[in-house]
Amino acid sequence: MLRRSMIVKDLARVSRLRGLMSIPQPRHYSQPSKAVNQQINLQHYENLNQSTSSFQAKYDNIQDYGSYKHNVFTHRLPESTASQSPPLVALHSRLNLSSQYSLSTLSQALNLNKFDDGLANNYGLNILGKNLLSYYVSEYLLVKYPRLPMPIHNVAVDSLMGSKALYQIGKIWGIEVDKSSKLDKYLSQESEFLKYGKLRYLTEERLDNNEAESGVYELSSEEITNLKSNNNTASSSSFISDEVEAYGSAVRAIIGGLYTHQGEEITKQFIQDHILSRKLLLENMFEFSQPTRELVRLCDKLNFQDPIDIRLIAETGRLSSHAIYVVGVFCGVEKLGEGVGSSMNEAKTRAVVNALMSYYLYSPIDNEGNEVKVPSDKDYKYLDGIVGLGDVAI
Amino acid sequence: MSSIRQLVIPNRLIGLKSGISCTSYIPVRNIYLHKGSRVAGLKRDPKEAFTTYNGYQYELSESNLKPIKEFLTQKYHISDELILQVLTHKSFGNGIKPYNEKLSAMGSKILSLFFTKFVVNKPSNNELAINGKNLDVLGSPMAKELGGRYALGVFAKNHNLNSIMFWKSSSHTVGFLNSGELKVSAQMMYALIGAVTLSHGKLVAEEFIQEKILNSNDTPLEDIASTVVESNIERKRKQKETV
Repeated sequence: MLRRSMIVKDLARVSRLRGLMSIPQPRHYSQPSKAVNQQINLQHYENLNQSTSSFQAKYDNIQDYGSYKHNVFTHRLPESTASQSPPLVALHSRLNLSSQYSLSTLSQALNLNKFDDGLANNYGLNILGKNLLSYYVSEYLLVKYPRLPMPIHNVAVDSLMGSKALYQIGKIWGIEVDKSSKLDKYLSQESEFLKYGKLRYLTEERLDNNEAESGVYELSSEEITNLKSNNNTASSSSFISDEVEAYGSAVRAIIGGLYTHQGEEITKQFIQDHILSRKLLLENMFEFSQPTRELVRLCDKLNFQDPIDIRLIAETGRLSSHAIYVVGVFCGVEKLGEGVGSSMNEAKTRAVVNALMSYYLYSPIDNEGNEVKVPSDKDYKYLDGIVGLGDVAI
Repeated sequence: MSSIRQLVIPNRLIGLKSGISCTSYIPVRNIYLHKGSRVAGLKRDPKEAFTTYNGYQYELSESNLKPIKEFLTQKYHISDELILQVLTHKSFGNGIKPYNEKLSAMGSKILSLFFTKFVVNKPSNNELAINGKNLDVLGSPMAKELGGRYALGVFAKNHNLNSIMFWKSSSHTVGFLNSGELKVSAQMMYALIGAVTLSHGKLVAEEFIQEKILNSNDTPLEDIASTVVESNIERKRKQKETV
């Protein structure tokens, strides 16, 4: 017992020291060739872009993108080591990746640790994957549902490629978290190759203190600050734990890795197969506070000449306890929507919501009646109605 | 001076079913269109409501579309209606005219992806590069700023693309940045790229970014971005020194 606590302390000290390592600031700068409009006060720039992390790459020249290098990393995992990790090889074949996709890249995609003996982590792969994902997901939603209101569009993007969605995908892929500390690995004589196929995001310090009861989850200091800031602004349901975030990052990085090895076409196919194929319940995302007012405003925006009319189409049992009314909402002679309700008011609201939904959820088709192509497809053609006009303010 | 206008509602036939009398009834109503400051409940004169603070009338006129048309050239031509939509911000006319929010969502994504690929595919001798692609550059301030709002806003101003934009600020007089003109200009640029993408497809849009924005003859985007990033680093260093 004594021996164990001593080693634990020692390991903790080492990882703390590593955490304190400072990253040198970039030294060399180049002057751009042409003068840039200097009238703009650059002091305000920081207010727009508050992204100063200590984790920055060094470069020779700011525009020489090949020269950027992270000094915290010294090496990538050798392919020979990676190929000896059973979970890594299993994941590779489970995802049906081609042999061009190296195992070392897949292992790197699963590593989130900044300080792991100089082993490169998935920082860059994650950003690459994120950009690829956001383009293909946005393109799909913007073209397939051009009239979605912006808040719904954003929620839809989030439900396809947000961390929580990617966490589910990562779980489906069978990615495992590396939960044992160095000491545990040593004591149980675990093969050193196993960890290269697992998701590594827990610091050695957290792994050491990983002795809570099952079902009890201890928050990290970052998670606590996140939770506090979330409580002030949004509901606590928007809280994302480190584990969810780590899975999301790994999935994004795997997609980024696909681009580096196999190019964009294959990556697009992969995103279509794994992300865009998931069913999206768009109709459940809507919530109207003042539907009638919104519809009137919408018709105004669309330059409809005639006023909105609500008309009773059919009714039965007005004097009974279970009356039913069928109401239509019209613009001139065009019926925009229809609703059924047990009171005229209910039927009217349902009719208006029906009209709004059929407008917002419109999906264009091409002249042959096929689903419309997205801009990254071959033989893409512009169609009328593919560009959303924007929502209305109520 | 306020004006009284007549609005004629289209003909409605009365007694059509009976087939006896078929006189057309033309109701006429007078609508007062208010000019000047907003008064609750009064309809504003569209001529005044749809004019920008610097006097441009919202319409499909050659003069309104000219700066964008010249920038796009025939190769990347987009329809006139789309150009007008690109130039219109959500803030204009309470969002009642087609505006550029969706277009800019498209444009900003393709631009980020383009610059990500652009920086990653530069030749590198970094031993951490994956398959020759140096990913260490991603996440650096420069890589972020390349497709960033600040650089694009300045780009639009330098190329005089934002001279005619349909938008509204709470105070137009407080300068390029504080009035929000930078944000609106950047959004207009994203929308322009988005409109080219939706009109011509992704490949042509990438050519467009490469040719017109990256390799522009007059202050290309890279120079604007690097100036912004360097002055930011410089200022931070000075701040540190004074502390």
